[in-house]
Amino acid sequence: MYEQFWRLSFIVFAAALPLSAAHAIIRQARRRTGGAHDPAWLVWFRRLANLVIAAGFAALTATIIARWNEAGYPPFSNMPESLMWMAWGLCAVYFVARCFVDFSGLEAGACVGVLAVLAVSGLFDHAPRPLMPALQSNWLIFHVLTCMISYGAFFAAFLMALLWLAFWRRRESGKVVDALSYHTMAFGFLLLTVGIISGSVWARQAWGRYWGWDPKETWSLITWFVYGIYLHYRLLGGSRGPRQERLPMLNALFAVLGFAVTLFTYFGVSYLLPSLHSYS
Amino acid sequence: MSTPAEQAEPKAASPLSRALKLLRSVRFAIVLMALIAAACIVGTLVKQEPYDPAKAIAHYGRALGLLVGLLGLHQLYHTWWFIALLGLFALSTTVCALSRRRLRLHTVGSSVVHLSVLFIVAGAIVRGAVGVEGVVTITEGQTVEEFDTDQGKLPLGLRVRLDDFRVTRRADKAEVIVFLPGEERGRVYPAAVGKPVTIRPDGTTLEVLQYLPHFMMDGSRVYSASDEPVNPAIQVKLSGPGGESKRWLFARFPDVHSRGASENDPILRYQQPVRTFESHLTVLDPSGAELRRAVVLVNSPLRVGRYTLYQLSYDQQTEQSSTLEVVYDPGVPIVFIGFLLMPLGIAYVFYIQPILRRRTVGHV
Repeated sequence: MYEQFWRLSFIVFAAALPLSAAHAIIRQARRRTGGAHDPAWLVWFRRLANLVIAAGFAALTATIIARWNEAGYPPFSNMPESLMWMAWGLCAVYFVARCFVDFSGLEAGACVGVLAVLAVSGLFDHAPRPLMPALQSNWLIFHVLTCMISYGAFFAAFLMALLWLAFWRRRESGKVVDALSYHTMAFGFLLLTVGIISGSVWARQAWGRYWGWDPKETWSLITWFVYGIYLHYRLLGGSRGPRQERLPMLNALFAVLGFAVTLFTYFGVSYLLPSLHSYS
Repeated sequence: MSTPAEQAEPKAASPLSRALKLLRSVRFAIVLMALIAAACIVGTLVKQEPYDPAKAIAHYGRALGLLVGLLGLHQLYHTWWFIALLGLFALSTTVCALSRRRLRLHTVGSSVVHLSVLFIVAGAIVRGAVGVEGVVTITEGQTVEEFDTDQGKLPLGLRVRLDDFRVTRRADKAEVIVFLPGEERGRVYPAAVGKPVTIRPDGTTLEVLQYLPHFMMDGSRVYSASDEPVNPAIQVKLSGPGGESKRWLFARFPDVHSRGASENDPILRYQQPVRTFESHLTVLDPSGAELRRAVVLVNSPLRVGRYTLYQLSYDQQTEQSSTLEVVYDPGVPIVFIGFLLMPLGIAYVFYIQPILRRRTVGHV
């Protein structure tokens, strides 16, 4: 069932993408010609796109449950499994963000993000492998879940940055984009903190030390510092800090830089640097 | 109301107050974080190992190789300058946390986050100052009373005997790992008898012909001495455009027959994934009286006196001797207080403070 649900998730999100993209294009075209309010049919069109995305989210959840059931262990132990959680986290962050803001293209961005994660996941071997002794711990679920949802949030902020750079920069209010992007990265930062700390407590239980400067640990700390610098830089006021109108650009730059570092922590360390985390 | 001393501060700023001003400035914190992050990046790119000038020069070139030795980049996380950076970071966050003259409910979050860094660094300093870390290898039946550290042997305080060492495997999840020529990462296939799989684009297939849990050889006759997985082995057949070949692969001896006759043949390894490895120990007092029996597994350590024993590794050939990590770290509770405060503080800053601030502003 896992493979069927995985394929179904991909198909549903692939169906949601043209709907969402069409909605964004129509809405933008109407805005450009002076249509400030959406007509009822466009609102319903958007609801339909969101319904399909919700169906995709349900399919992703079913994929996770099927995997858990078939593998016989909590599915948090290798690349395709963690990517599954990242896609799920990204989609969850989208739904939360969607409650607070109203931007054209947000749905399309979420679909592109989930499809990209699923496509990358397709490159890996999905065969379940038994958990090695170090991973047989209750900390596995908590550690991977918090890390992957934080990665999902950083990916969402990255997609928002791209959308802002490409479309929203000139057309929609910079302040709201700024707030949304800031909250997404702040949420990711909190979860990354919890993820690193839970990994640290787990490492103490498994290996006797809470920190060992293993490349994965070190790069997660570097990621934490990058977002930490961003959150502090926003605090700088007056002439020394960023001017209010430049904040959205600052957000976009850090969202891109932060996500690049996140990607290296996630993939680069596993494949380029020798690490105790080489299984993930 | 500010005190007279505070009023005088801007006129005659003493070196101390200037230092404090610098330490609590956000800019300084940003520069420190960027420096630590940059140092960490270097630390993951330069191999962390004892310095060998000839090797470093051969690997990085003359100038860079000497720089690695000069700045201690080969053991970067233990160099004085990196530790000083971390110390400065902890100092900066502490000064920042304590510099608020009045603690208010809607601003206390950042102080909590900043103080948590102090706890984490303080715990690490305690570990560095009085902590002990070492290893001990025990063979079945052997009793040990000391362990090895970088500073030589240290007494455990109590005696520890390894009664039994057990490795359990997942025979039902056995797998063959195929390394094609020129590839460093192997591909994993289930070791299921009678189910050929294609392992190369040219159509080469791999098939497991038979599985023997307890491989024995009597002349040219091959058989299984029992149903217990004492010496698990599989016979595999490779069929491709170049012809057919058969080999025996052994889970306990992965290098035997792993290579084929030609360089172009894939390297094959047979393995039964390890489910658990566990040390069955008896703790004895110095006179030899038995105090308790316990099992140490990965993720399930054992406290022996002031030390904690962690299951680290084992002798994979004999599977009769266990290596345990021995740790004494009184800094852990301090670090864990920091670990608790940090996420609570961050969550407070992002999700509680805005609500409190809105209420305060509302009242005004």
